[in-house]
Amino acid sequence: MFRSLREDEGTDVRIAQVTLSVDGEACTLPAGAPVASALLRLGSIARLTGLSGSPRAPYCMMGVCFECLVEIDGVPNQQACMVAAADGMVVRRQDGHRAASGVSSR
Amino acid sequence: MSDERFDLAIIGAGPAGMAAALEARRHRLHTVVLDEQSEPGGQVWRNVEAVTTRRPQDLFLFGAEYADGYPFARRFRACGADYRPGARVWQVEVAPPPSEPGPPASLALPTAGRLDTGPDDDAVHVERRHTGADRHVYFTDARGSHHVAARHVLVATGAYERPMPLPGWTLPGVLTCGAAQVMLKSAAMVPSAPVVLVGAGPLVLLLATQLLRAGVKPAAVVGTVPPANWLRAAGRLLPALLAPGYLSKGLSLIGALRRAGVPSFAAVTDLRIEGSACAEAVAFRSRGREHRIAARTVLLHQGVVPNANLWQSLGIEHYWDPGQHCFRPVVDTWGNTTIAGVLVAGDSAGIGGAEAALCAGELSGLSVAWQQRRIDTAERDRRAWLTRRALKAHWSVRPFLDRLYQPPPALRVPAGDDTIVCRCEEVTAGELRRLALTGVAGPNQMKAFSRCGMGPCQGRLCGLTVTELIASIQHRAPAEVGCYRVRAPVLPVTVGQVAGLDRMPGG
Ligand code: FES
Repeated sequence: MFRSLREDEGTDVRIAQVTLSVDGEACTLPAGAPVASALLRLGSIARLTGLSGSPRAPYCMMGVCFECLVEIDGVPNQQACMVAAADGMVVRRQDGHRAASGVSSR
Repeated sequence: MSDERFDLAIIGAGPAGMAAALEARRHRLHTVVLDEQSEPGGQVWRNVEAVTTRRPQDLFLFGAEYADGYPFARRFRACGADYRPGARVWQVEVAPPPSEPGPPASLALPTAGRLDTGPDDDAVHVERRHTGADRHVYFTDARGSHHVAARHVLVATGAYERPMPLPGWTLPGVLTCGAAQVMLKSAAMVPSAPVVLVGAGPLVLLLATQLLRAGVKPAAVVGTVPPANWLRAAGRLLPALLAPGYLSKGLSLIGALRRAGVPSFAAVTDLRIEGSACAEAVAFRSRGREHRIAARTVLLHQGVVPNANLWQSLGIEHYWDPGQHCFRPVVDTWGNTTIAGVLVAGDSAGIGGAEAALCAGELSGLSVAWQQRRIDTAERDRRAWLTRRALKAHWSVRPFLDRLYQPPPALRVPAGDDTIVCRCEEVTAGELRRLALTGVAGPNQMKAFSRCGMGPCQGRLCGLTVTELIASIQHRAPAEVGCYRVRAPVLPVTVGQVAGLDRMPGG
């Protein structure tokens, strides 16, 4: 769904790059970019809805819609658009999860 | 629990929050600024430090106003406020001791005459200083959960894009225009072609030209402004011309798109996004003809609305603004609310734009300095004079913009029954309409019956639609229908995070 601004020019050496994996697929991003940008770059969905199992991907990129909930380094229900990508991060898609358990929305 | 105590806690480091911090520090208020992003700037100046220092070659994409954010952010960092990036506030607690006075008596609901204006010179002042107990702010960052206490709290949480419930808006590949800007600013990524922009508002034009500069020519800009809006807006053109720069900026953006040959459609109806597993096309009617434009990325925009959850959770008195089609907190010229010691400034108090937010933040900082007796009334008013005039000038364009870009009814309340309104719980417009016809009392009952608004976004993306849907079916005013009751925590917080609060001393 998205591609790098400088796809053809290769990697810009001035910007540090990090590599993370999304469901086993590697993705290289500028350091500091939100994890959700990896999902959009790979054209990957973030989660399947709990009710109908429909695919969802990041929608707002600013912490509002919660469509980007993924598991990051083993912790579920993280808003991928609010977490900066780091080297070696392991991101997994979620199927049918709702909000974080415990104290939650009403 | 932390014992950190501040004079002022500011939530949000966008234009309003930064301006407030600068003003507060000028009067030596001990100030903390909590912001969920990793850099100051808010959404308008998102990532401006990183772009300026590490990708200066990309600055031209965003224009001069964006570049202005850099020196401002530098000044903010140097102002002496305790700035905490990556801090997500989930609760503000105001527990007044019995002795503390209630809502300021002089704060009245705005009269109908000034509903579509911003704060103006004739507005009521709260001539009462809040000198009472501390307010408590709870937040989570990478290191855990924390708490700070402050005599005053300023909510400067900005705005987010108005939900735009259309058939197919939940498909992967459909994002907001703001999301595409975030991708460009913080990830140096552009949407895959063909890209179609759908909606109305200054951001649509701005993003389209930014994409052009980035080498991505939109396949189409699909405009949703109904012809009637032009007529309604025309009457407000004169004051808008007096506002600094807004209209000429808009015209130059339109010119740039024309010259680049970006196909554009106006006054479209029957909008829908088609696709099975992801977005494949945008379909609509324009001038009596059906159109279908292939798209891999569809970017929606229908203006922005206040990011209200935090102030709503405090029970601050609010009103429905029929011009901006959203709820706004009742505030005085300085941003004081009906809860003593809590202020709201910038777009989270009503959409006025970044320039107005800078002025509003400054005025709030002044008011807090005055309430805490750092300056006397004469100095406060002398310092506020120019800023208030500027604020008024920036607001004078709003009646025009609000009328022109008012979303048509079909984009606020979906006409079709199958369109999803609540993305989290997958509740459709049809189901809500059925319930509204059976006479549900309001959004809270609607939530209980349908689960609409019960998901992780806590109603941020369905709240306004539900209010307007009930209002239209039951022939009631949105003000009377009301909105979801918002309770803290305003973000999903785990038991572990709350428990961690007690185990972790230090903020
Ligand atoms: S994309 Fe909306 S919350 Fe992350």
